[in-house]
Amino acid sequence: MGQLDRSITEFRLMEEEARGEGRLQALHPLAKLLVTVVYLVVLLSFHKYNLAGVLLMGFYPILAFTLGGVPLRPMWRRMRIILIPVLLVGIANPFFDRTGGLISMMTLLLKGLFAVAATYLLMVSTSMDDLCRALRKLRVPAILVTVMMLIYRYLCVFLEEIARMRAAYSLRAPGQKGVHFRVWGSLVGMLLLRSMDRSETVYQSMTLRGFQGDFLYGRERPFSRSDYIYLFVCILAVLIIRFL
Amino acid sequence: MNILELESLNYAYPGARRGEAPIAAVADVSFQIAEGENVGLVGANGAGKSTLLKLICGLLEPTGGHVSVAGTEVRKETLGQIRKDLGYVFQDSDDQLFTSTVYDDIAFGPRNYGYTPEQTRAAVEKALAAVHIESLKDRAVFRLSGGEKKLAAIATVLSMGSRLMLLDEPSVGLDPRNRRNLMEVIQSLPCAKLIASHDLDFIYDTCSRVVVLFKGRAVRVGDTRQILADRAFLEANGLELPLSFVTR
Ligand SMILES: Nc1ncnc2c1ncn2[C@@H]1O[C@H](COP(=O)(O)OP(=O)(O)O)[C@@H](O)[C@H]1O
Ligand SMILES: [Mg+2]
Repeated sequence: MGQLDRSITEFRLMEEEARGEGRLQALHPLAKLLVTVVYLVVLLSFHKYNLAGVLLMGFYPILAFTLGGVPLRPMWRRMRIILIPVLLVGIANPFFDRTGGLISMMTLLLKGLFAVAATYLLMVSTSMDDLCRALRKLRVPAILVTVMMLIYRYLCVFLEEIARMRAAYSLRAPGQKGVHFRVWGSLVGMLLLRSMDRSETVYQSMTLRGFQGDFLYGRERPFSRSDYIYLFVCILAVLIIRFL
Repeated sequence: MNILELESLNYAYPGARRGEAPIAAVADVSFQIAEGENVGLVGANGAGKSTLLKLICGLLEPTGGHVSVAGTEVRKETLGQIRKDLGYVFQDSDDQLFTSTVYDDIAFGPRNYGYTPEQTRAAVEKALAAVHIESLKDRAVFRLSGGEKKLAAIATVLSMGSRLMLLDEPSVGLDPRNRRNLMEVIQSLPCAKLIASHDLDFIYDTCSRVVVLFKGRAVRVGDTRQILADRAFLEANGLELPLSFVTR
């Protein structure tokens, strides 16, 4: 119960943080989105024995965390669901790669860590609303962006429905740890139906207010000089590290 | 001109399984609402209130009869036009508020209808002032209380300049103070309203006319005071007067 409620709260807090006043938050969503995408693509393209290159790629998360004033500690708490498997895969690597096991393990670990960090940085500095708007600016089809946004909303609704149903269940099955496997089936079925129902209502409320696939909310603002500088410096640095 | 006209409206939900009989939820309902009038839609649980509201805004398509809003018949082709005149306040405010801040949610309608940024800001500010929540403008939606959420949900509809507001069980889940505040806000708004509720006290104070639904039928349409004074009639239709009412 507690774990689940914490997840929902963390989710919400991250959303709120994304609309904060920090230096990273002030950048244009489109600039941040482009930098993140380029960074991730380049990072993952490094060869598994190129430890030096991957190490250099650490510049982005390190600078962003320090200069952008993003606290580091909450990242571990929020991202551990993804970080733990990434780390486990990295650590298990020497058993599969006998020749350069240690080097490829380090490379893999760092790649995973940096990728998670870069994604996290985008998440805590850019709200979903702004992100959808940026995607539309990039001419991503409206239908794709709508679906993405609905999935995101759906995730929140889904977590809340789980929390509600677990509360209802545990109140009537006191002293029982977890949920008995015999009712899993019906519980999961109920959960899907209920969250689908709610997502549909949310969508209805959007269409009733004239929604036709365009995300016109979020903050509209022109590219400023610092946005251009951020975009060019980051992408240039990434390309230099990769190709020189 | 009437803002809303219903003419022998019918709706049946499809049966749960193939070959099963459809479930009639709204049967032969006719009534009108004049511009600026407040009308209560009362009935017990399952009487068909929510279904009727969804038919009016075109979320459901009637299986018979006609609905027209501001003189235009509600059909697939006219939905875009009609929805500008209509506002729907959902029973559960969480269904209504889906962006992250109060401001963005209230600005959602105006932006979709092509308002300029200045027009949007003006419309949002006017809507916030009308429900007295100016201070919540930049608040995250999940940090609102139930009462605040309801007011914000009403503002999301007001900002579009709707002439008819449909409210589904607006007073459910509010404490007495928030409920009284909501009542005052509703009374102060000039647009016409159709308020679905089984909270007769609330209807008594906000609506001049009521439509009583029973098993999908409009069994009576008329003056609020007259109908709500008819205790035997109400009880026969699954409605009960609150205690405070009996002594009035
Ligand atoms: N999605 C649905 N599918 C089938 N039947 C429904 C559905 N929604 C409501 N009904 C039925 O329609 C009738 C009217 O429901 P509703 O309009 O929700 O009543 P109210 O809002 O007055 O409580 C009820 O008998 C209900 O069981
Ligand atoms: Mg209802």
